[in-house]
Amino acid sequence: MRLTPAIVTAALLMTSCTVSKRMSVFVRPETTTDPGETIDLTAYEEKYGEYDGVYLLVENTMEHYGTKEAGYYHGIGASWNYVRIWRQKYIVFNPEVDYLTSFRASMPDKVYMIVTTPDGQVRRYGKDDLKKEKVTEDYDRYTLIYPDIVKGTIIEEAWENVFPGRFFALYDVDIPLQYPIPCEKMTVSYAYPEWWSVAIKDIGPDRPAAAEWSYDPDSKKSILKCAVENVPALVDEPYSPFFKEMAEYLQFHVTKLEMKGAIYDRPINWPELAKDFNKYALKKAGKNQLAVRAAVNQILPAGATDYERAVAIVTHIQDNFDVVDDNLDGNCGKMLKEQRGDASDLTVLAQAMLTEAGLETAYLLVHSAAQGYFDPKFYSMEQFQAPAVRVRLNSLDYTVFPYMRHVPVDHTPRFFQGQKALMMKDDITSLWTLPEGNRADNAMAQDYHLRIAENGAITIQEKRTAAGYNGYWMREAIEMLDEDETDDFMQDLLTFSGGDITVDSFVVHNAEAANQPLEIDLYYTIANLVTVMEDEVIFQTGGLFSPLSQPDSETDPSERKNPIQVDFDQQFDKTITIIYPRTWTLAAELANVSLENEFGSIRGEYVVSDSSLTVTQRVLLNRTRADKSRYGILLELIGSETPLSIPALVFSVETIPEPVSGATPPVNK
Amino acid sequence: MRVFSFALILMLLAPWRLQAGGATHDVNETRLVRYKVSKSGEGLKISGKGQVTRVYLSDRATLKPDVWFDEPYKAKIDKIKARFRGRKLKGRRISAVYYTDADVFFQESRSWHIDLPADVKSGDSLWLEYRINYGDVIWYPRVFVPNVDQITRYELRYEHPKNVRIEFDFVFPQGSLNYRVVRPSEKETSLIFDTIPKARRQPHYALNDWRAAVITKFYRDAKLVNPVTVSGLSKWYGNLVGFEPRLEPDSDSVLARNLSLAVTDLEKLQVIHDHVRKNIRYIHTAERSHQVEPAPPADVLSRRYGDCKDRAFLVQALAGSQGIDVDLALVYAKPDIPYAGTHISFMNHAICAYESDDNLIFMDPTAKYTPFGSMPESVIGKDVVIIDKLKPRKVTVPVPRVEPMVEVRIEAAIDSLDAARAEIVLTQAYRSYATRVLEEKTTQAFEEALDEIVTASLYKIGLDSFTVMPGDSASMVLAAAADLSDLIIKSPRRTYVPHLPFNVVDSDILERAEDSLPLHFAWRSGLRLTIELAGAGLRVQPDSVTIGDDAVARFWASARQTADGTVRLTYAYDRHHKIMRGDLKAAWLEFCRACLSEKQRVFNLEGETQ
Repeated sequence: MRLTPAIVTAALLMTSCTVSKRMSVFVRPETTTDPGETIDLTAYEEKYGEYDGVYLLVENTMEHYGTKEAGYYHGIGASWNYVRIWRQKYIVFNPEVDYLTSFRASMPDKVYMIVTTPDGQVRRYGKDDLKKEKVTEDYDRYTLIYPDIVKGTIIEEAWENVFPGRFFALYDVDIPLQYPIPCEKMTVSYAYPEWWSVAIKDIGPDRPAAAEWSYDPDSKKSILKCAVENVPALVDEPYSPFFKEMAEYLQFHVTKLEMKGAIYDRPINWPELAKDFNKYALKKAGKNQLAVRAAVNQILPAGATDYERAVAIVTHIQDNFDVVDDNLDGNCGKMLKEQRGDASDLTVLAQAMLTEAGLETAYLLVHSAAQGYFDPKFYSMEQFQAPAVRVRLNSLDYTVFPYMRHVPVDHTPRFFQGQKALMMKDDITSLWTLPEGNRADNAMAQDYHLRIAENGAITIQEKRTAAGYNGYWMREAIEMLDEDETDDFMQDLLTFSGGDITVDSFVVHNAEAANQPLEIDLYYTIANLVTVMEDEVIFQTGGLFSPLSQPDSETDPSERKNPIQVDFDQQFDKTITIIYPRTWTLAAELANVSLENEFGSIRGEYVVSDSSLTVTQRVLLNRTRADKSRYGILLELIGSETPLSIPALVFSVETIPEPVSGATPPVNK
Repeated sequence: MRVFSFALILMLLAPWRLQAGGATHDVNETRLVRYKVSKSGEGLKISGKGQVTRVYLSDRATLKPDVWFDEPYKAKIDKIKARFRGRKLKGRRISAVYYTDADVFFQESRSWHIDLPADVKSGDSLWLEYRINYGDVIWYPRVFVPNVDQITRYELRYEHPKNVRIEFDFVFPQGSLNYRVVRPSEKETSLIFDTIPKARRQPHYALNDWRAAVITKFYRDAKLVNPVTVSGLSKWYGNLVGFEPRLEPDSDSVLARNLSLAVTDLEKLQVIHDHVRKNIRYIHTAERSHQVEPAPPADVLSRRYGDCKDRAFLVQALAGSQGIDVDLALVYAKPDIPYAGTHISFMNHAICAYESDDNLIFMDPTAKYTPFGSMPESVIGKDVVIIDKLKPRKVTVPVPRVEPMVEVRIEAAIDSLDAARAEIVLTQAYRSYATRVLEEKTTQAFEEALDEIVTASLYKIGLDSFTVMPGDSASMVLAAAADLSDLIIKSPRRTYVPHLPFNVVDSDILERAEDSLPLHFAWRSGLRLTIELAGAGLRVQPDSVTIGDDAVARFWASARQTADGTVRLTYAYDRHHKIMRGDLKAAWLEFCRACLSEKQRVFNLEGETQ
């Protein structure tokens, strides 16, 4: 017998390769998944019927398998595959919901679906039943719209895909464990060769993810497994934390691997992780210094203070540079020439310019609250969402985002306030915590000056002042509007409901000056909210006294499902001055209001003097995290039944008012 | 034709003059489409090449500069070339997204996206060219000229055989536009719009998005080729899908049993209609073959899902098997386009029509929560084309007299106004809406839907803690806690109750007095409110007020003392029309002025003070 290279290779492999065998199995049940299973549909509907369905189980299985070594003869005999198996079983309560009553996915390698109707009929489907749908020119989706779905139908689906392993090894795996419908049992498992290492992100301080490791000697596998039960549905409620701040999820990554000859060791501390980025951020910025200096000299006002220098540089970049997708590799000269760069590039440029201006700076990669807890021992760039520059001005640290239009130098967007950042400064890498911001940063103020004529017509001057987050979102909103749309926007801003309102004019101040509070002056009249009678006058206030902070929807506190979170300190001020005819007197005394609880405080003060009423309202909300049971307490401050609200004011009239020339006073019937 | 649907993008690009005082316009755009019309058997086919040039004129125009355009049903767009700043856009800069989940009955099925670089500057320009092939001229849609800022020239140029003539009908929803139809030779016809300015978007007007719709009529040897008449459309669609489908209900035992119990044709129709609307899921499959033609009724019945045409065709087929002659009827369920003729582009929904003893009954088996005998508001009052082999016709879906959609009865004690009890009865569109949310959504969503109804209807009256009570098939009855403390005003001298506790008029509607365009509302409206107010010594002088009349809208309210001493306040409001123009519009605006003025008037109650 002649020994061919293939036989030799096979023989060598048998004796020398380190193999991690596949252990996961795709099981296509012969009859039903759980023979003899009976599900009490009535009980399930009673428990979960308000949702579109309920997952009875979700199993998400991931596995890498193959050889540690590179193989012979150009890789012959070596392999590395990644398999993913998904299995789910659920009851449909709302047959009109597409995502529960149809299967849509990339073409699976293996697939089965079993549909059991409430009358016990079982229907099976497979690969041949899938229809191709084009989603984009490059992507086809395979679809089965399940026929004959009625309320109470149970659907079991499972599919398997096998991919080349190297594409799926080094990514952070981030798996949500909570869905829009409840889930009774969920299992996630990630099996990998025993010689690899995996790190898991904690989901809270001293709160590790619900995962455990096991070992399978036959396949040489370590298995990371997370099993959770009775996971409630995710619901959208006002004043809720971000998803990753309240929901269960599993986030992990491979820290060490050797497969098919490839070797990788993930950095095991922050400086090591930041090494490449540090090189980019700091070293590149040092080049093109002449161009940077010229740019700085051109825009800096003479005799500017440190703060003014920072504002000038950051605003210049925000207003004049395009934020693009393609990275210019930190080349400041190119950025200055082309007036563009991606977020990282523009942050490099801002740091270079601020440093050139003599300011102390550091490059930051900032974690977002939307990504949940920052785990200081989970060394991954995935924990950072935004680059920024820390600049020290008059011994105070400011965090600036030079690629975000309308974000002033002294404001940190709410997602980033109080969050961790990876800070690179002078070749030293460390973690730094951003300031939490102060209440005035996000203040919203409204001043009203109302003059009520004897015939009941009201003339109003209103001034709105929005700083920080409020100024940011309002600028973002109005920037895109045309003249007509701006008119509509201003009309929608008006507080009064039910009024016959005529907007005479409005002026927007500081629309482009993001470092100043945005101000909107509105001038309007209301013809129909005052009822003038012989001896009394009624002013239906039409929402004038409602606090600004009311949520759009007000869930019954007993129905609240999510924990409560006030993201940042907030302040809402209203000053209302009402000037009315001298012959009128407020019929009842208005008692000052003051209430304070764990979420903040409200205060309402009423001063009557010489035919005028001055009302000052303040609502303060504290950055708070609280249990859902406290929602009623929060509503005491911001709910519709707030003591600040006054639906009507009644005035006593001393004498019969004379009609104003040219206007006919309304006559009460 | 909606070859280019830039409306969404351009709406966001319109001028920002408030602070900037910048360019007069944000973009300038020219469009030219050269078509070639040629003979195909007895008919005609059409294909062409389009060119668009866009210049960005302002900073705001550059904030979202990308271009999206839709591919009409049955048409194919390809050979797309785009140049930006003189450089060709390649690869993923030109891509398409398919409408896989949407109902695409005679509508676009995919959208092309031209992705421009993020650093578009004022002064940059985009040049775009594409090829489009409709095949048969039957599939050539109406051309929409969008209401965007601004098109400096729009030309449609048709090259055609000598014996072909092309005519145009126009609909101008926001005032007429200047156009020219030019025929430089017997073989060429051009339609040219020069400078199409943007019209102001009006509140309560549904046709803000376009300046003109052009309906193109193709004649060959003086004979109309494309189906732009009622008889033409009926004949063409009926021949395409079949005038008399038949399906025995045997495969569905429940349906078969219920049908066997029904005696009259109407009873049988109700069984069929209710079975289809309740048991067939509304799901559309977006295969191109299914964009115009319904799926076979047997498939729809067995798989229990389908879109509007599938469901209507199934009802027709099941009724046919029972010897009942039901016709398909096509309708445009979006706001009416004021066009006397017809066109397949103006159809996006299929319903059923049944005629017996000159009585025409319509059924919409897609409206899951609208019972037999009623029609959803989206279809009421619309013109439909009945696909009838012998008697094709265009008729209007009858507008029944408006009935109260919300009836609220509140019992309250004058000394505990925040602890009142209410009974709410929802009917018609509100019942359908609330039932859908109750059946298909969460408890929270149901509460929010009811809040929405209350807020839209009642002024300063709080209702919450809703409980569903037994009702009939035409209504939903709810019990709730009520709070009248914001509505009823107590002073040292007396108690006041506003004359008008309804939210029926927005003051912005008065802006519409200046123009001649119609007013559009999604629904008609009917509200009723009764407040029974109890309190020792509480007295009211009988009083009443009426505004308007039954021709347009009517509001009336009264206060009186009942025999047992309770003060009864009754309020009612009916608006009878969804579209108002001319005298009707003027009368409605007058009614609105009167209602706004009435807001400040009150009923006076004696005997209970602050």
